[in-house]
Formats: sequence, structure tokens, C-alpha cells
Amino acid sequence: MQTRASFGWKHVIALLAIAAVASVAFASIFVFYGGTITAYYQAPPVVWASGTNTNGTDIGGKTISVNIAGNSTTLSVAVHPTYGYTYYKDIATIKNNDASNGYYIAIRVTSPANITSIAGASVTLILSNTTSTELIDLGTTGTSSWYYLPAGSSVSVSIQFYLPGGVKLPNAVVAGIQLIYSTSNAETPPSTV
Amino acid sequence: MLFSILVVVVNAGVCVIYDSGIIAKPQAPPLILVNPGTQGVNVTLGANNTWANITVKATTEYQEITRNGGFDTSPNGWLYGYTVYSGNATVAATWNQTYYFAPGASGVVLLYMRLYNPSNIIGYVNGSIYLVQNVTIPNTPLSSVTLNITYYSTYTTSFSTLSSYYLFAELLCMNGTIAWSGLQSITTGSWNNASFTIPTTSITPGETYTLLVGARVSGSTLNILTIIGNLTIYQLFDSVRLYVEPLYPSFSGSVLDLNVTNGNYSSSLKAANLTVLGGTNVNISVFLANLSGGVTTSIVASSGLLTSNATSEVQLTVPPLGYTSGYIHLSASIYPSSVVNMPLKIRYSVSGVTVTYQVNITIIDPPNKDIAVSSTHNISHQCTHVRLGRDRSVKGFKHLDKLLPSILENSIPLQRWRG
Repeated sequence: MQTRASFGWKHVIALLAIAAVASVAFASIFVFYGGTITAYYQAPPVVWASGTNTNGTDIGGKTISVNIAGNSTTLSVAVHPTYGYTYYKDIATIKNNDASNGYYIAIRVTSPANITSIAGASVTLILSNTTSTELIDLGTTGTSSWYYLPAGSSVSVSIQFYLPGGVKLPNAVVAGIQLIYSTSNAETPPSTV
Repeated sequence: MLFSILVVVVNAGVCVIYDSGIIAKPQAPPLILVNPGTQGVNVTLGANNTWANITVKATTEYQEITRNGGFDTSPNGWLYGYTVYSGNATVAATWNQTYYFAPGASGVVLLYMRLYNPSNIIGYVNGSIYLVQNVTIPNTPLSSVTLNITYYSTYTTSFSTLSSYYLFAELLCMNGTIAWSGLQSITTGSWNNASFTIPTTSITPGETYTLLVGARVSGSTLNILTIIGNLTIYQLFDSVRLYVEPLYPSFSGSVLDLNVTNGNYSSSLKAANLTVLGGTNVNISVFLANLSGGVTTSIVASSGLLTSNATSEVQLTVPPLGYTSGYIHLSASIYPSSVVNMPLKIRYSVSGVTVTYQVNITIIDPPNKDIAVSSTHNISHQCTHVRLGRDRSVKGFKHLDKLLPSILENSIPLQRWRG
């Protein structure tokens, strides 16, 4: 009886000791240094802004609906094109409010216009100022090249639709885009995470 | 759509990304292209009437340059105007398939003018009422120019004397001066053909003129007891056609109509290019006109080269019944056997939106490349000598005047000329 009781306790203690040694052997060593990150939020230097035809009259008595929201960081456009070429001129602008620094801007098509099933149909977004023009195909996923926006300047945003005569009118054509701006044009814009 | 802002550090640069979206809800075209049915013009319209291929036959044949000169289905292309020299006037102008008091013609314009002098002690009235259309002379020497008119005239009056009653025609320069005028006595109570020979020296090839065709009338009384009088004329036209005979293959007329179904649009034309096969002795003028007589500047090609490739703008609006909003006018003279091709863009815009349609115009000399052309509608003029309204008695006057509302009812009113 004595022998059996003594065996039980000794063995329990021994097993705990082995487990403790084993746990040290499999763990990493963590070292912590102190540090701080402080973000000072600022008004966005590059924003969507109104163009000369924002909320202007569309063909057929309709309205060019342009909604700029989220502190001028989101743009929603609803227009009513028809057959042939329909060109919406200067429905919005991209404005650099920073009087001291220029930025590089690009447009990324995240969700292409669902019009590509119609042969020949196209949707093109046009960035232009007095000296340069950038055409962006909204029917294809991708990112445009960088377009330099000097300090305090703006660029006009226009859209052109082409729908060949003879096809059935689509119910709605939707395209999702991102406006990207950067202090540098050294790299391709990253994807969002 | 979920909008978000993402800031990503890229090497030394900072990248900011905004989400945005564009929605297009395509709509039926608010402006469509229409075949004008002009003789010598073959129009193939695309689906949805938003593009067109046009083949134009340039010829040395005797050719009509008035638009819708037969009034076959509408008064389209024609306006009316009037002038009162003495007295007061009530006027009306309408189109109908036929008017019961002047049977025997199909597609007829009625010009109505009632002159009266409630306060004129000398008992005298004088006025005119007329049809109006701008016409462009082909840009080539002409052998002859002829104006043919089919008309029916009747009148009633309480005056003792019908001083004058004439069928008149004029060609006005665009500055308003008279280039040519003609006058003929009117035959009343029957359908009549009248013809004016216009000297080729009176007009300039390539120029646009305003054509006026109508009736001029005056009446008076010597009877002191009837100084207050009325003079009413009913002037009907079944056709007004201006013909030219060019020395070189030519065409002048509307090649395409434009019809607005919704809205008002500033519209213009632009030529993409011009190609000439054959001789380069090619002169072309193209402009856009609206229903009220407004015209753009012209696209011009001279000696086979485009010297002006775009027009100014003209306003196109929803037309009244019987009219189209506007039309493309082509005036061309080409070298014999040559073929000319001119792709055109039609642009219409409102606010910052511009819609562009493509139109292709080919001009040919048909002896070598003939085409099917639309036919004119020849109207049978079975002249019946109905003399309603010829009676100068008060009873006769009341007869037609009482019936005027029913005469005008269901007719298409003509648009007034503001020239």
C-alpha cells in the first residue's frame, strides 16, 4: 500500500517537470519595444468637383445626374445616352486643392461597363485639360497611366458612349471606377486590400 | 455601391484611392433621320434611324429645286407670310388633302386673307399673302430657270371695285433685296397652271434665295355709302415647283430630314473628308436648315477640295404637325462621270451633351452609275369649274366666311414666316 501511494505522487511531479521543460523548448521568444504611430487626418487634397455640366440637361429632357459625396471623395454619375456617339462634356472635374504640391492621378476600372457583349459598343472616360487628353476604356478592367495634376489645378472629366444603331437598348450600363492619386509616379498603383 | 477610401504607402509615394461609379440608362434617340423623298435622292436609313447612306444623282436634266413642291402629304418645307399695305387683315394658312370648294387636286395649301377697312374713309384695302421657301441655285451655269404653279383662286367682296388681283412670285436675296419678281393676272374659279420664266441673269449660281409665291389684291369703293368694305381671297396651291436646267451635272435639294421627338437641340454638320473619283471640277455646298427658315453656314468644297468642313449651329425643335424639324440641304455640281463621296457627322447637343450620327453622301453622275431614285407624285388636275365664292354679293361672302371654321377644321396649319 505504502509503495503504491509513493509511486503516484512522484510520478505526477516528474511529468509536470518534463512538460515544463518541453514547453520552453517549443515556444518563441517575444521582445517588445515601445513606439507610437500618430495619424493627423487632413482634408483630401485631390477631390471630385463639379464640372460645367454637372446636373445639366441631358438629351430627351432628362438630367445629367452627378452626385459628389463623402467629402468629395466619391462620384456617382447617371446619364442617358442613345444610339451613335453620345458625348457628355465636363460633367465633373478632378481638382487638386493643394496649392503647393502636384499629384499623379490615375483611373482604375474595377467593374467594366456591361456593354461589351454589343459589338462595337464602347464607353470611354476622358480626362482633359488645355494641353493633354487621357482616354480610359471603361469596358475593360485595368488602370490608366499616370496623369500629372499640378498644384492648384484641375482636370475635366467627360464620358463618351457609342451604341451602334440597330441593337436593342440595354436597360442599364454600369461601370465601377477608382480615382487614384499619388505623390509619385514611380510605381504602378497598388490594389486595395 | 460601396465607396471607400484607401491609403497605401508605395515606396516614397503615398497612394490614395477613391471608389466611384457611372450608370448609363440608354434611351431611344430624341432626334431621328427621315427620308425626304426628294427626286434623285436614294436614302438608306439604318435601324433606329440614326445613320444613313445617301446616294444623290447629279444631272444636267431639268430638275426641281423646291422642297415638297407638290404638297402631296403635308406642307413640310413651306411657310406663309402676308403683307397689308392698306386696311386691316385676318389671315389663315392651312394644308389639307383636298378642299371641297376646289375639288380635283390632292394635297393642297390654302391661303386665306380677309381685308377690311372699318375706319378708312377712302374705302381702299390692299394686301398680299404668299408661300415662302428658301431655295439654293446649283453652283453651275444654268440654261434655264422656270417656276411652275398650279393654283385655284376665288374671292368675295363688298367693294364696288376689285382694283387688282394678281398671282405674284419673287426671289429675294438673303439680304432682302429683290433679285427677280413676276406678276400675272389671276384666273378665278378653276385650277390653273401658271409659268414664270426667270432670266438666268437674274440669279447667281450657288446662291440661296427666298422664294415667295402668292396672291396680291386690292379693292376700293367710290360709293360713299359703302366705304366700309371687305375683300376676302381664298388662294389655293396644288404645286409650286422651281425648275433649273444646269449645264453640268448638278443637284440642289434636301437629302435628309431630321425630326426631333423630345427637346430642343443646337445642331450642326461636319465633313470628315471628301474623295473625288474623276474630274476634280467639283463644287459642293451643304447646310442644315430648320423649319422656321433658319440655316447654318455651309460646308464648302471648291474644285474638289474642302475649304470649309463644318457648319455653324441651328436650333432644332419638336415640329408642329405636318413638318419635320429640319433638313440637310445639298447643292452640288460635279465633273461628268465623276463620283464624289463625303462622310458627314450630324451633331446635336443640349447643355454639355453632344450626340453624333454618321451619314455618308455619295454624289454620282448617273449616265455611268445609275441608281433607283424616288419618284415624284404627279397629280391629276381634273379641273372642275366650280365657282363658289366668285359671287361678289354679300350673300356669297357670308357663305364662304361662315364655313371658314369648318374649312380650316382638321387641316394642318402652316407655320408663319418671320422673314
